[in-house]
Order: sequence, then C-alpha cells, then structure tokens
Amino acid sequence: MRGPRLLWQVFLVYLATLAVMIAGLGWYASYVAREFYMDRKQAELETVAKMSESRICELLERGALPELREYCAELAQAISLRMTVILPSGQVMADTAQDPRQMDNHANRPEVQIALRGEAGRSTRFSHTVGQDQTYLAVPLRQAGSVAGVVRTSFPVQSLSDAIRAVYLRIALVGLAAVVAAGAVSLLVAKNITRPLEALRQGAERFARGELKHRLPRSGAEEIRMLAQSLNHMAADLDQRLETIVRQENEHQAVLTSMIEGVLAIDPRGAILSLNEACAEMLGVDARKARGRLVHESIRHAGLLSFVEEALTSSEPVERDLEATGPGKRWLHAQGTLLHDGQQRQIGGLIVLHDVTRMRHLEKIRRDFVANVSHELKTPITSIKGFVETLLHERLEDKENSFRFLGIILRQVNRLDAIIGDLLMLSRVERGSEEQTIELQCESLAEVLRAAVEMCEKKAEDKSIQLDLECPEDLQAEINAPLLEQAVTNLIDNAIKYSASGAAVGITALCEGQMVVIRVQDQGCGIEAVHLPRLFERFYRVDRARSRELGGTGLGLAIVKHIVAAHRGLVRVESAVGRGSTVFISLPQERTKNT
Amino acid sequence: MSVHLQRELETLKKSLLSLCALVEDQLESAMDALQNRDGAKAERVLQRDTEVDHREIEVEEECLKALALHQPVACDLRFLVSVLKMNKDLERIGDMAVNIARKAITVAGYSDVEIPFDLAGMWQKSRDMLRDSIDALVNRNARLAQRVCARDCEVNRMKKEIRQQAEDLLRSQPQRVVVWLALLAVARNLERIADHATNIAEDVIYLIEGRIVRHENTQ
Repeated sequence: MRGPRLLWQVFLVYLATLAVMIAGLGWYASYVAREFYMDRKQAELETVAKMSESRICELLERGALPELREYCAELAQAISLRMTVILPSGQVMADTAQDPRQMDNHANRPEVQIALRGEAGRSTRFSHTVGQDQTYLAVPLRQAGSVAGVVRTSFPVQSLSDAIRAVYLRIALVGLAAVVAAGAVSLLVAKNITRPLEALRQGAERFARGELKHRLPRSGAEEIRMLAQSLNHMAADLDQRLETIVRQENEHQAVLTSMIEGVLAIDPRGAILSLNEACAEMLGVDARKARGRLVHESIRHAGLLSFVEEALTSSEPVERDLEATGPGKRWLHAQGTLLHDGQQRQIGGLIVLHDVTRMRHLEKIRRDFVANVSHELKTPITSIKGFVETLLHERLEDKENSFRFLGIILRQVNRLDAIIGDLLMLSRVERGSEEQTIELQCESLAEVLRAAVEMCEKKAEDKSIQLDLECPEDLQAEINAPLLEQAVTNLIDNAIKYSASGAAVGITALCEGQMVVIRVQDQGCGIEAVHLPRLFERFYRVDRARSRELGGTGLGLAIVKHIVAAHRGLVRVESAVGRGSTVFISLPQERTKNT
Repeated sequence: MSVHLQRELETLKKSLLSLCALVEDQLESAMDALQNRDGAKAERVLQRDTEVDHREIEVEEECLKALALHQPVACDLRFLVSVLKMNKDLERIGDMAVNIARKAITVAGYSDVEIPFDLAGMWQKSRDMLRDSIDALVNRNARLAQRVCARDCEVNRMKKEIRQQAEDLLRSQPQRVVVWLALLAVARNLERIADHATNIAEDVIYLIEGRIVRHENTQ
C-alpha cells in the first residue's frame, strides 16, 4: 500500500491551513467593514437629526404638517434616504415615501421604542410598505430636555449589501493572491525537503542492485546529511564483507577443483549440492548439468546409489569399493559421511571418491608375480624331487634310466638357475635404475649389436633363421654396453623363438633426431592386441604352454624394459597376428644435463 | 499440489531410477561375463535378480499407494501410469540379463571358441537405446525418445543377420552346436532388450506429451 507522498502532505497541510485562515480573516474583515459602514451611516443620521431637531420641533408644535413634509422631503433628498417623523405617541406625522395618514401607529417598532427612550435605535426587517428588506435608524428629537419625537430614516439593505460587496470582492481577490503566493512558497519548501530524500532513495536502490561502490551525496539538511553518511558507511562495510565472502568462496572452489579426489555433496533429499571436476570425470557426468538434480537422475550407477543411501542413513562413516562405469574399467574407493553445517545440524552427506585403479592393478601384478614365481620355481623342484626319490628308491640299479634321470634333473636345475639368474639380474637392474648406479658411457652401438647377434647365432642357425644386422658404424650413444647387449640379445632370442623355420629377423639401428632407435623385427606368429599392454610384465605369457616349451623364463621382456628404463629410454611393440612383431627401443643419444 | 504427493512422486522417481541403474548394471555384467567367459560374474548376475524382482514389486506398490491415497490428475497421473509400465519393462530387461548370464555360463565352458557374430555391436546398440530411453525420461527429452524408437529396426536387422550366420555355422560346424545355440539365444535376448527399450521410450513420450505412439512405426 502506498502511503501519502510527503510532498503533498506538507504542501496540502500548509495550503489548507493558509486557506482556512485567510478565509476566516476575510470574513472577519467583511463583518468589521459592514459594522463600520452602519456606524457611519448612523452617525450621519444623528448629525442630520441634530441639525434639523429645532426646526422639526418647531414645525411640530405649530402643527404645520405640509411644511414639515416639505422640509422632510428636502432633507431626505439631501441625504438620499427615506425619512419619517414620528410623535412620541407613535403617530406618523411625515413620511417621504408614503402618505402618513395611511400609515399605522409606529410605536411598536423596535427602533422607535429605543429612540423614545432617548437613544439611537436600529433595526432591520422586511418592509411591507416598500416591499424589501430595510434597515431603520431612529434618532430622538429633543426639546427642552425631553423627547419630543423621533426622526427615522431607512434605507434598503440591498444598498448596503451592494456597497459591501465591492469590499468583499477586493478582500477575496487579495486573499486568493495571498493563498496562491503562500502555496507556491510552501510547495518550494516541501520540494526542498523531499528532493534530498529522493536522491537517498535512488542511492539506496543502487546499493540494492549491488553497486556498493556508489556513494550518496551529502547535501541538504543536517538530518539528511547524517542519514546519507550512515548509509555510505553501511555500503562500504557490506562491500568489504561481500568481497571477503567471494574471495573465500573462490578459494574453496579452487581447492575443490584442483583436488584429485572426487568430492560429492548431497542434501537429505538426495539432490546434488555440489560436485567437483574430479568427481564428474570419475563418474562420467557433466558437472554443470548434474548440480541441483537428484543424484539418481545424473548418476545411474547402482553401486554408488546404494552407497549414497547407506551414507545418508548411517551415523558412522562408511567405506566401500565400487567399480566405475564409464571409459575403461576403473575402480573407485568411496568414503561417505554425514554433512554438518556450522550449527552441527545435518544438512546432507559427503562422498569422497579415490581412483584406486592403478593401485589395484599394481596389486594384481604383484599377486600374479608372487603366484607365478612360486609356480615357476615349484615346477622344476617338484620334478627334481620326484626323480631323486625314484633314484634313491631304485638305488641306482638301472644304470640307463639313472643316467637319463640325472640328465633330466640337471636340465631342471639349469632351468631353476636360469630363472633365479634372471630374477637376480632384474632385481639388480631395477635397483641400479632406482639408485642410479648404472653407468652410461658414450660407446659405439654397432659393437654392441654385433655382440648380441653373435650370442644368438647358434640358435638362429639351428632353426635356419637369418639374422640381418644394419647399423651405421659411427652411431654412438650413452649406453651401458653389457646391459644393452643383454637386452638386445633377449629380443633377438624371442624373435628366433617365435619365428617359423627359414624366416628372417632384422636388427636395425638409426638416429632419429635426439634419439637412437634400435629395431628388432621378426616374421613370426605375432601378438594379439589385447596382450600388448601387459607384455613387459614379469612372467606374463601370451600362451603359457607354448612359451615354457620353448624354454623361456618369462622374464626376458621384463629385463629389457628395466634396462631400457635405466637408459632413460622407451620400449614399445607393434605386432600383427600371423605377420610378425617389431620391438622398438628408443634411447636418448646424450644424457640430459638435468637428471 | 499437495506436498505429500510431490514427495511421493520424488521418492518414486528415485526408486525407479535406482531400478534402472541396477538393471543396466546387470546387463553390463552379463555381457561382460559372456565376452570374458567369466562364470563367477555370471553367477552373481543370477543371484542379484532377486533384488531386481523385489525392487520392481516395491515400485509397483508405491505407485498403487500414491494412486489410492492422492488420486492425482493430469501430468501426475500420467507420471504414475508411465512408471507402472516402465517398471514392468525394466523387470523384463532384468530377466533378459539373467538369460544372457545363463548362456554366459554355458559358453564359459568353451573358452577356446571365438564369438563369430557381431554380438558386441548388437549389444552396444541395445545398450545405447536403453540408456538413451532412460536419459530421455530423466531429462524429459521427447525427441531423444523418438530417436530411440527409430533405432529398433536396426537391431532387428542385426538379429536377422546373426540368425542367418548361426544357421550357416550349425551346418558347417555342428560339433559346436551348444555354443551356437547359446549365442543365438543371446542375440534374441538383445533384440528383445531393444524392444523393451523402445517401449520405455514410448512411455516417456506419453509422459511428456500425453499421446500414445505405440504401433505407429510398424514396418
């Protein structure tokens, strides 16, 4: 509801007061004027009466009525009034407007009664004689100290009114002018009060819109100025607080955005209060679309949904492992707890997600490795044990078989030796790489490659496989020659193992920019894409049965990987099933200055 | 708009979406078990089906309670009716997942046999149809729902192809008849999943626009 405007309140009140007062004044002035006029007329009449007193009395005494009438007529004409002469008995002796003989006794007339008592009398009434309102002034005629008669004049009220009207008009006009003038002045004053208030109001609206840097003008009355000052202080204070809040909010956001862990806050209803970028990425949702919606709508993950339910209803924090849908197979470790605000009221739940895929993967590798090692070592030992027991049991009686068994036992022991030897080598390389105790020297690559090819020549010959070596003589790099030789030997060995008889194995080395690339290519059976990521894991075999048959320890590629890592290089495999595989080793030619 | 009714509807929406998530999860696990010959995973799918059934009954009971207590009208009524229908479709999809899981257990015993049909492609299409139909529900996107309906014929075509291939294999490699029949059954189930996804999409259109679009796309 809108209240009355201050402007009108002030202005109208002033105006009304002024108008009432001027009207009152005007009316009073008119009344005074009227009285004044009457009094003057009365004084005039008394003078005339006084002056004609002696003559009229004389005429009355003589009884010369015609002369009296003539005399009255003269006087009446002089003062332009109707004049009447009345005896103390009330009988009208002369009248300038009517025949006195037809007039009735005037003793009862109020003004006459007063005049007979010796004072001037006045009365206003309707006159049947003349037919309008008349005012009568009666004055006593004195003769020898007593009242001899009454002289009465009368004039129509109308004439008085007409005369007064002019006065009224002038008073009214002046009054109106005064009101208008005063009104204008009061309007100005009212405006002067409300204008600074209007400015304050507009300033306050700008504050409300957020423009807290705006300052109100400090002008006008002292009270207004004080008010403006207080409002300015308030705006400055608010501005500062808002800045602090925004800054803190930004800091929080920055923290949440940069976190690797996913953070998801939900309200008791199940709607997402907030989620950070990491969480959105882990769950495969769009962060902007998800905020504010029910968690069931944005994230359709059965495990997570039931976890959220649990977190919201449990008084203790809860933890669970979840498998994440979304790109690839990922594992998430979820922790959920209740969310409390500043007053310890529960306002929802908080879920924190950790991506444990890598950790799980490593754990799996470790488990597999332990299992594999146990298995790899156990198999030859079981075999040895069996044959030794047999030998003991038979007491070496059957020489043929005893020799055969001992041969088998030796083979198995060699196998054990090879496995353990490889494990030790692997461990050494790993440790050396970690502790950076492996020395690298600038040496010719051609030498190393030739040595490796030599090592494998026998095996290649046995399978009629050709080893082709291509390497520029001057190619050098910072390498550890024995280790690199071992690595290349392993690769050539694999190539020979998995190639069919009569195939060729190509070994090439070349320089590519800052790197040296050694390539070992075979035309063997190839490796399926699904195995490629895990190829360099310890004991990882594509085809378990076949690999053991070919005499491998399962550690060859793992050793290559660690040797290449010690050289700060990279190793990768390209393969097509049925056509062959190529292993690329990239080494930096020079050791980089900053290690 | 009664506050109680609003809360009921929201709870119902959450229950339905939880069921959706569960069914999608079941399907994913079943197909995963099939493709990786993981018998243990398939077993878990079978065990979890009781949960799917329980939730389906829960949703239905909640719907009926809401109808009886609040006698809703207009869009709220459409929502409840749609939920009842989608609920049924979801439970059926859950059953499909169980069927696939059973076949996965069968096939797991034949780890040396490769899957010759493009089941992965068909699975991807069906799964995307299901996901899109539920997305259409969540985001109230009628156009997305329409597109789901249009993709059904593609899946039907793929199934016909696979059936043809299966017939050929049954003739050429009859010793593996168990595997071929199991895989053919999986293809059939995938096609029915696509059909149910189409039903859900049609229910979504009904929910949003108030018109029934069933049987309009008969080819």
